[in-house]
Amino acid sequence: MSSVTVAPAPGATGVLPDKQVSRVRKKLTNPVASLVAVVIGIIWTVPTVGLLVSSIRPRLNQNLTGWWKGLTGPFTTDHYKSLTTGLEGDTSHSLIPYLVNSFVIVIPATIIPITVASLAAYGLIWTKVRGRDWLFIAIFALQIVPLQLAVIPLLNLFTNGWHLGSTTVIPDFGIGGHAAAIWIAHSCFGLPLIIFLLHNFMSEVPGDIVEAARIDGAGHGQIYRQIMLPLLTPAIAAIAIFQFLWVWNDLFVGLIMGGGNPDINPITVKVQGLVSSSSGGGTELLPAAAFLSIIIPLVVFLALQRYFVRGLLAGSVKG
Amino acid sequence: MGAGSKLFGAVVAVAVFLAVIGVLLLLIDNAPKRGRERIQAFLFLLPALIMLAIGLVVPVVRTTILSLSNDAGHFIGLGNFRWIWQTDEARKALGNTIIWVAVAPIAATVIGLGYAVAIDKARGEPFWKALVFLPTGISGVGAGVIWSLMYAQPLGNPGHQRQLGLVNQLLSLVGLGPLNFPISTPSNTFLIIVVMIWIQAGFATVILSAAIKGVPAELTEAAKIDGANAWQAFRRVTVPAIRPTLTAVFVIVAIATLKVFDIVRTMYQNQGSADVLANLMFDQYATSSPGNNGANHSAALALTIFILVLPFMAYQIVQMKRRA
Repeated sequence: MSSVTVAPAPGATGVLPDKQVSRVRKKLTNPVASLVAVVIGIIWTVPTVGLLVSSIRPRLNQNLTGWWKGLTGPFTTDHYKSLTTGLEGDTSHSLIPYLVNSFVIVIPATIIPITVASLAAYGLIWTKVRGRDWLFIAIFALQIVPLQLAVIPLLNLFTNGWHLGSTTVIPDFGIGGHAAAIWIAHSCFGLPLIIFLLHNFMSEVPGDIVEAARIDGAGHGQIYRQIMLPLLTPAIAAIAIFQFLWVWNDLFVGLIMGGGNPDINPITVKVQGLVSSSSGGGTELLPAAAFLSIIIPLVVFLALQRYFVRGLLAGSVKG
Repeated sequence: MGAGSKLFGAVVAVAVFLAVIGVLLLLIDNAPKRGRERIQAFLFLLPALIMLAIGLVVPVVRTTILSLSNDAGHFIGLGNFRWIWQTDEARKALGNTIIWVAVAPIAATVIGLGYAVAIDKARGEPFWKALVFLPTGISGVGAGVIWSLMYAQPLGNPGHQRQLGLVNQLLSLVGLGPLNFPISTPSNTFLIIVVMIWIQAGFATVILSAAIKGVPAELTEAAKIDGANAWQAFRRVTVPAIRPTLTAVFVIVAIATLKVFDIVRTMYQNQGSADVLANLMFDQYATSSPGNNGANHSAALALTIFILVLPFMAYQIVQMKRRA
């Protein structure tokens, strides 16, 4: 890190490059700007490097010295072996089942809300019925409901149903303790934002296209499938990354809906459990466990950053 | 259950779901001629409306009812909110949450803005941006473990010269004592807030950087020709031009901060009162048993978070209206 020299930030504030005066000023601002960039860049990177280095240090070294003393070794892959394929036949620490659980949760919890939201956004924009603007505002407003307000009653609904006195308003779904509870929870909670984002993207599609299709005799179902979905593929990709990261990184819903059941607990719940249970011993596995839990979203994040940023911009700047 | 069968189950569930949507689209295509548009609109919106009702509207009503009752189901007015105010741990959590929201959103926005300006048009700008943006993709749990390592101290010999955590090592180099994280208050709250800022600053950088690039270069250039220095041009031209985005970033981070759970859950091990509302809300739920009103206290804490979110949302709406 220290050997990296920062390129000066020419025109960091938009100065004219060939003006003598501004060149003098640039010299004044650039060192400050570069220093800010380097310091922040280091602070934002070093902790993650520390985790990676710690994760490959033997237990004894971890307990004796800081990770920066271990940059030259000794290294070990034992922690990763122990957390994946097992060490010396002991697979009890394996995180693989929890990584699988995270995938089991994240796939439906990404596909379901985006599909439902795309239908809703279409209905809100392209069908001509009264009250749709009002409905859109109501859905938009639901975004402010914190998860905390909804998760526990939803869990009760899944396990007990909803009764008013002796009348059953909603029967229990019989899915308490099943991954389906987590899918439905994430799908419901993600809907307001996803509808809002897709509404933004979909309302940019020129009305002429839809009108032309209608004149040619296409129905709403056809327009949705054959015009909107293909046109919205980039937007849907952006939102899918967003939802994937959100669900994968979630702890709260997983902790409450998972209820400590190792069959459905996602990796975040498992790693958080390791933190609270490892004050006595077993801390040597923690850095490697944390690294395994963040590596998949990070790869997705880095590989698809461009799409993700597009989704972010659509959500926060326009909105 | 085996990994294969679990994944298979998830894929089957998705397939069943898509089949249901397929049937819905069939119904839309074959809607009766009479009132066709309304029926079709209804069908497009039906799945979302069902899910929003079951997943959000009904639960919010139930939580509100819970927060105004005791665990025997009797209405007790604001008793659970009085409990928040009168119980040390709950009042502490409320106070800490207010510290969080006073510090984290401002810090993340200012750092994001400063960094976005510092790297704007610099060589390797995408790389520098990616460095700071990376933590945005890291879970609160992962970030909690990462920063617990930064704050670590040798077991049994916490004041030792040779420190385990980088932050403590750097502090001891300048003659300052170790942090004693997470035991020592109130520093523990601020040390956990650092992690939130670390996660959110990258988000702020990316959004604000896009906004800065949207400010016409002529504007800042004109200011400079008029004799403004770089700082003045930034302060008087760039900042006002991106104010709506600054507000949006601030509000988004503030709302995320009010709901913060995973970082605190991971780093704060019920030591030294660094609790926040969302974590206490979970603990009250998890330890609820007949007679202790835990679920009701939990509901009241959730509602408190909601009430704290409202002014930020209102502020954002007012700002949006002013622009429109």
